Amino acid sequence: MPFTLPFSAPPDGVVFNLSGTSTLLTPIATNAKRVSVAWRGMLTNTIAPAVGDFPTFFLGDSGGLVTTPYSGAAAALTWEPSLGPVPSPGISGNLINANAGGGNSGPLNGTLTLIKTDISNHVYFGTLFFSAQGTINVVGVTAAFITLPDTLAQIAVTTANGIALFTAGQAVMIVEG
Amino acid sequence: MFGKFDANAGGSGGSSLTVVGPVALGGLTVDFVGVPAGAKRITWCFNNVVKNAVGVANICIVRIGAGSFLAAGYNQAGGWQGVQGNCAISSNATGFIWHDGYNNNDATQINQAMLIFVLMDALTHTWAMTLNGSIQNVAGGAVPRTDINYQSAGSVALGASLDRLQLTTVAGTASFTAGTYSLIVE
Repeated sequence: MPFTLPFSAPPDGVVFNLSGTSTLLTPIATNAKRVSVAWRGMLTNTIAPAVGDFPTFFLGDSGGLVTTPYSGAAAALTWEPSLGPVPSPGISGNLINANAGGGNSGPLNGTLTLIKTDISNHVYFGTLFFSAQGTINVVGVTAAFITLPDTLAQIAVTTANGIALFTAGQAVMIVEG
Repeated sequence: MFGKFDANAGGSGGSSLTVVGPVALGGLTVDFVGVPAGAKRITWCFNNVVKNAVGVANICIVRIGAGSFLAAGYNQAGGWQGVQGNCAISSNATGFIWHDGYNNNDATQINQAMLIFVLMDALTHTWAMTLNGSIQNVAGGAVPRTDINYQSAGSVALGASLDRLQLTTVAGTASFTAGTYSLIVE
């Protein structure tokens, strides 16, 4: 006898192709309380990335993106059998910290979850997980929050210095209010 | 449709999520009592959490409960990573561990963390939990570090419907001196 799973209708997701130096995920409904972003196959053209070349999510309201330091810390874990886990601290102010296909890393896949934790003051809390399979396997995590001047209206998938070009990858955004 | 709207629509759509908070932290424990029966997913976010005590005994733990807080039977482990190759992992059966870098756990460190609880089995009231947190620009302690990330995951069976959440510490003697939480129950 077939088993029917209980099912609650999820919100519709919107797909974005990652390209150029920055991809804006927008529009975002004004009453959004949870925003989920998943991405796969993210690559940039940077061969030997510096910290400024790491892919980054910046949040913004209708007035623009906030790139000043966020509260929190980012970290990437690499694993090589001979070395064991090698923590690598990220820069504060970014919600992701890893090279995307540059150096020894393969394309990045991951998820970002944003929660609006203070409705009145536009505080958004984010957690992120990602991995990359390559010569060096990478797993990365972070938790951070930012207070925006106004309601979240856009999310930029970019790099800290905005130089590297995204050459592949897709992101899907689900917004819940 | 209830609980659903299209991100493409911009503007405001239907609403199903209610955010409780921010609620200021304080005291030896932070309790939320009144999770409605039927909850299937709980998202608990903490911003700028500070404690007043150091050491392994003052690592944060989170307990859940049905009628009272459960202090045994948690299956889980948590770990943290910092610079200089520093990392650690441990488990604690008395609560979901919030592994905020115990070697340099001090009153200057500020925690950010998100916990997500998912009901795994409605008959045994078994809940799974994942946690992702960070500490920014930590200074001091036995081994100074700059940034720390920490994670944990685990599960516990309550035997009855979950109705409460608690943030405390292993020994229960450290006070929370700053920070807020926000909560979404679905």
